Amino acid sequence: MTLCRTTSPARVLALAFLLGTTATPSLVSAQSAQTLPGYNSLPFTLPADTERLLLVDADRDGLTDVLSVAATRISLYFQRGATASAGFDFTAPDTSVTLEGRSIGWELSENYPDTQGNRAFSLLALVDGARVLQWPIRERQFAAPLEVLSGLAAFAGAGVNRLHFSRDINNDGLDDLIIPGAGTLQLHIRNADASYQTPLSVQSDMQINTTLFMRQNLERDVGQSLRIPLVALRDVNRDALPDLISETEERFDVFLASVTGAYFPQTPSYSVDRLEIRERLGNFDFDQLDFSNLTGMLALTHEELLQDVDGDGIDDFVLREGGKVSLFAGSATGMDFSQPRQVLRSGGNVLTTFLHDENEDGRPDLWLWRVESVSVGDLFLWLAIAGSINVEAFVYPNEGESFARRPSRQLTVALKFPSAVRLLSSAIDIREQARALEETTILPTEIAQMSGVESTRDLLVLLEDQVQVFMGAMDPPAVVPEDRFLASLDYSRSRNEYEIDIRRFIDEFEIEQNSELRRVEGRTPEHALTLTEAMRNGDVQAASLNDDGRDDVFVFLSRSRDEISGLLLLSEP
Amino acid sequence: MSPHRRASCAALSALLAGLTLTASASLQAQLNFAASEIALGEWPDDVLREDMDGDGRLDLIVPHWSAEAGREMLIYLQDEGGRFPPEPSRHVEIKPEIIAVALAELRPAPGKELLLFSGTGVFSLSSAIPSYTDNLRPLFDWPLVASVPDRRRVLYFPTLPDMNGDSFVDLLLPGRDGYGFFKGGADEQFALAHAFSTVNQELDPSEVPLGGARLDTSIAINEQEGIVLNVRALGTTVFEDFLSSWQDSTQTTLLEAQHWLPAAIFANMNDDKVLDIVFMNIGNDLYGQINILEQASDGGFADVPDWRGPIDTRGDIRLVDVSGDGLPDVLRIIDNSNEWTVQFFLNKGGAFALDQPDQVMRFSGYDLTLSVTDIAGDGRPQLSVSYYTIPVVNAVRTASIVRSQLLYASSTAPGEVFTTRPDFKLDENFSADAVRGLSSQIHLQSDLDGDGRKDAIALGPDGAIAARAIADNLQFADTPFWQHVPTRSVLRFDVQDMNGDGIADLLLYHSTAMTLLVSTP
Repeated sequence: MTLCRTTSPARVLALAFLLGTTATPSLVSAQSAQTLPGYNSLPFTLPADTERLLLVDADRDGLTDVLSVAATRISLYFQRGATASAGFDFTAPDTSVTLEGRSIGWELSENYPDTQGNRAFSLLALVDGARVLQWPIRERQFAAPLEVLSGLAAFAGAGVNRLHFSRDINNDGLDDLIIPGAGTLQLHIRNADASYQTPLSVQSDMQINTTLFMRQNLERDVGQSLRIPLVALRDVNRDALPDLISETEERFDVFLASVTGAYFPQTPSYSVDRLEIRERLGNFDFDQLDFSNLTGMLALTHEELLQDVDGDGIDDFVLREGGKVSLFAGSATGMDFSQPRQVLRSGGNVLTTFLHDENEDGRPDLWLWRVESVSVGDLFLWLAIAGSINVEAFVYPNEGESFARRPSRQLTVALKFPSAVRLLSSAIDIREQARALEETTILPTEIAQMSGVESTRDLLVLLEDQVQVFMGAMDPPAVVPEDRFLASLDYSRSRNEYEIDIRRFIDEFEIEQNSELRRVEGRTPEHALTLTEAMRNGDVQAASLNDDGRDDVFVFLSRSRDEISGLLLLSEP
Repeated sequence: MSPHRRASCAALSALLAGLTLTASASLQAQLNFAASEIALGEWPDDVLREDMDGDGRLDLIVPHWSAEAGREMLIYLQDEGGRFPPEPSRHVEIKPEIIAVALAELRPAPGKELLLFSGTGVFSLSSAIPSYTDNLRPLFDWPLVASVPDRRRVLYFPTLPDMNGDSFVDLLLPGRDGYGFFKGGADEQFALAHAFSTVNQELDPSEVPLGGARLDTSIAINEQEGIVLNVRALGTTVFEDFLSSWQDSTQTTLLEAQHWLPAAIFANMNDDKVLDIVFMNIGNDLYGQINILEQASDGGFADVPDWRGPIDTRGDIRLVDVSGDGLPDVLRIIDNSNEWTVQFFLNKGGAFALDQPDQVMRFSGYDLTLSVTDIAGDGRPQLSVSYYTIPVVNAVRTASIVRSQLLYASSTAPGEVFTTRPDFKLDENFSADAVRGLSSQIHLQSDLDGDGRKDAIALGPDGAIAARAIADNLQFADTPFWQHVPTRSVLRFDVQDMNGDGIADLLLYHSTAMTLLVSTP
């Protein structure tokens, strides 16, 4: 919901330029042209109900095509090669499929055969949760649909949604199907003869946020947001077959793959019952709370790690229950939960554990993190004054089969934080900064490779009536450290005392506005393209469409109740 | 709830069942309560209270999930002595397709039935019949705004209203494309009487303001500076996520989808004894806009709102009757850290002057809560305000904070709805050893001793719950007239007449269970 009356961004920008008071960096005007050198300018209009565009090489000719998704229709605009009509013809799609149903989950795949048995790039759709249809693409046309699977009872959300439900689970070159049910996923493994194995049902912790009514509040919305995570597939027993790891709040299940018979067993090869663990540890009860040691509640927590500890290439299982850490050995056929290979016990309030090679011997060591006691009195004190909590890490080196009985190293991280009152006022400051942004025009920008030089990153800026190109204006992206947490501490093996000061984050907090633009402030763009119509709430996005090492550019100008209009800048090969 | 925990609750319940609590002998009022304890599930806020067996007493409906049984509604029937059994009287299985439930009097059999809402239709079910067979009845099709059920949790619609005064419950349901108003009739009949959108259809999508800039937050690792929090403002565009590549290697979800629309609320806005529909959206002038769809005498609604008014939508905007005339007024609360501005807009026969609040009040403190209560029941309500302050000296010396409770009497002075200065103020210090008293605000909505005046019911620093009388001058009595020392910590409590005797009963929510104190003769 928009908070208050807004002014046209273009008007704000123009006014700000005149007054010289804008937070938007001033841009130097440039000699503008009707197109960019080396690029063809292809204006387009799309139906107003177009919800998204997907870039895909649907005819497998090495050129990227455009698939458009509308409320009840999926269409393809094919890119033609070096002919007289090279590029795209956006006057009408080359082919379309009308999707009928209240719930459509769609996906694309190149791993399904057409009626002649030839692999054909296909559109797939789970229709009304009941059946899966396939539309192969032949000669740049959607062919008649084929029924892939029926008799399903699935939930794929209402309307037309991208559903990543077609995936090669068992690495046999054939796509299998993952069908979402009510809190479950049904895995249908496809056989070479196009039949399917008995589906495997695994539970899934879907993230569902639903609001159906409001008693008093008028500013709230009703509706639903839904996020279904992908299944986790990786080889955990060194047989080169992807295994299935299913984690929910209640269970941790592993299904080991088999080359004979059904790919996955109907019941897990091994499991950990998280409900039973919580039952054993005890549930949170306010009356059992020790007000002098609130962090003592960590004794009720548990975590599970499935990772190779002993270096045999087969994942082992590390189970932490409060301060007790058990190591179970994995084998090619499963996990031996009858007897832990090792049990370590730690006093204090254990926060978490993880595996990371500390002594650089190539084997993962056990890091056990403890936090000091925090009382209710501490919390009351921290309401008004700044505080600090020490978190300690104990490193148990990996000795091959198991971890050392005693830690070889202890690190301390002092977490310093401001008072709750200060945090609250900082939160308000941040909110005010964000609110102030409403008065600032944030110009759409995009970082692209326009020159074809791989290391060069150029900046595109979309103004109301112009696209400006600043060649080589951007730095190469920063390299992300492998272990971000330890890197954040500036970790080194020679230092055991560290500090994280949240106060510093707050003191230095600032919302960057037009940060890319500031890099080209006062600079004349190398190129500028005049737009034939004014941009309104538009955007500029780059993508590589014709594999010539240069990015192509979509300039989206406006969206009205009649149409979507824009411009494609397609590089000339 | 584990079997073990349920067993322990059952044992305690059995003990409590034989016990009738009496107010402390040192206190003035003689109140008797039957005490029961039941196990709470994962969703204590979703415990419903309705008469499920038609005996005139409210029963408890507790949502529950277990790996073995899936989703259930556990129904605890209240007996004539005001007690609840330790184990559920009825179990109602909720099938996986069901998204939400509601309770309503639908069938001739005594007690309320369940309305079950799937993504595509609405059904009825009696909890008295322990099966779906010969019980479940499809009522009508409706594409609910939510289409996917939660594996563990059952959502619910609150008590359903009779919107047109014909003594049948009606339904105001959010759908995929807008709301539907369904008129209820005899024999579980519902008819779609009006469909409307809460989105302003007159606005061209390109005109809809996109709000403030989007923020892109990332944590960068910098060898010199360590962790660097980077928040970048992104331009607003209708083309966000519009273009993507088919083979995106960063994909982590099977499905991501969302669908939201402005909420519609039913309320009697113009004193014609039937309920109207109120919602807020973006007006043609790109300002926030309150819309009222008035229900006509024939039960119909117009195609366009009967009244519209522009409003700045920042803050919380609620419908609350602050004037005591029985019609909801508009309350707007804007917070700025510990500074709060409250604007009152009075309902003038189904219209508002939203450009000029009838009164503005300002408060300074944390976690402001506001409510309106008619302490004397004379139609001249009082404004109750509660907030916290954290004096640094208190925090450092005694590790304590202050909770302030203020009462403002209604006012007839020009430009005032309530008096400008509080008629009553109570500052309470809470230190670390009195933290139990902080778990719940002072309750001012109920008359516990049946004298016709609302009482102040509150948890004390020691966790005891006590009721004090409130005098005509709005001062709380020095000593409570009733006190109860619970055996378990009370995290929050509620007050409601559960057995229809006109005397308020108490529902005490503990960590894993709830205690019901139902008044007895």
